[in-house]
Amino acid sequence: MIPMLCADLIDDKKNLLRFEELCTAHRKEMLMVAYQILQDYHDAEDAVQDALIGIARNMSTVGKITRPADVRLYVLRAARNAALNRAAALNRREAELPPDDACPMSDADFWSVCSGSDYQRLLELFAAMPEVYREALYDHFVLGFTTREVAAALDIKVSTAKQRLVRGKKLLLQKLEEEGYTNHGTD
Amino acid sequence: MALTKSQIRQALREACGAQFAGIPSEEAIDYTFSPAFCQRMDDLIREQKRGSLRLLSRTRRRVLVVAAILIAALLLVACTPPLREAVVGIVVEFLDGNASHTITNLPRDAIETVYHPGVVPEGFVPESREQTSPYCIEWTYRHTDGHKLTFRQSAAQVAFGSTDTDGADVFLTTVNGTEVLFGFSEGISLARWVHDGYLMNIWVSTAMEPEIMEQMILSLQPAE
Repeated sequence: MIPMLCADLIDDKKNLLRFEELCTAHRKEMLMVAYQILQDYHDAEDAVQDALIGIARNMSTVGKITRPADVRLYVLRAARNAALNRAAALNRREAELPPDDACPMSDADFWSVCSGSDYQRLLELFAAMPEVYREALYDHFVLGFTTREVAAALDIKVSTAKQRLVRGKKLLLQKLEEEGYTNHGTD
Repeated sequence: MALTKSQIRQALREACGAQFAGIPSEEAIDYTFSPAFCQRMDDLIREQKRGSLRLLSRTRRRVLVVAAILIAALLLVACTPPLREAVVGIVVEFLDGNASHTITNLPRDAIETVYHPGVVPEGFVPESREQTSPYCIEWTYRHTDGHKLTFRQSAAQVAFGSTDTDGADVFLTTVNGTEVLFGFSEGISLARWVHDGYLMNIWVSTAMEPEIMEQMILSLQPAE
């Protein structure tokens, strides 16, 4: 009874304290990321503020991230995206894919496909992937976000988030199959 | 040998983090944010606090029912010393225009150590100290402009209270690890918390900055 009564309060208080920590813990790093894009400190401060407002809106999702390294990455990406939006230099292109991408690849298939590769090659493939797919895959498979939460974190429509996840997985599969990696299964 | 999920995640993490490899650490960056930025951040944090209060009020009906059952159960527990638990908690329920709070499992039966704030806001001078019962002692301070500050220490098992929220900011926060209930409006500032098993209260008959209230809380010391 007591946990139920206090659940919302505790969750909100935790997220509130966490947000206050986020506002100070990485803001200079966020500023540097934004400055790299905008080349102006005033604009960079504005971008950091935009990013923190977006993070505030999604604190219930951000609260799910447990590793400090992932939190840092999340806020730096938020700063980068906010700076790119401000610069109106949203130079994200969807990679060309085979016309038939109607069959989605399951998460189990993703793990299976990746497990058959070696670490270094997988790292290279992820690094070479268009950023829009890579960050969608990161949010879903590393941070554990649902598709809806990926959409909220990236400030895109749910349908766009789904599409990016599907295309990211398919791009990876395409590259691995070209190189002859086969499914080995994973734990 | 097949890669594990942990290794696959690490590869993704590494690939995503590579773009920020050149960014210095927070401590290594020498930059002072503008006053305008700092003000906007304070406003954002304050807005987040208000937002979390609104979220609480969405569950008010469920909370009201559970609170009624809980309070009845707590009163029964409070009358039975062996059943009292060691954990004290402040629970706040938001109803229309009102915030009701319950502070549970206070362990003290009487005042054994008298406390008072070591620091009070500038302009306030001690006016009186009065022990109204074995369970309650009150210190009063008066400002030159007539405003009053009251510090009350109580030994109680369960405490209840309510505050009008129209035009007021009522929230729970943590000061140096201690849970504190704050209430601020134009005409009053209040803080309620538990220290050394006693219920502590500060009322000021004017608006105060939270930082000043926090200073008083942190300055609490045994009276000579």
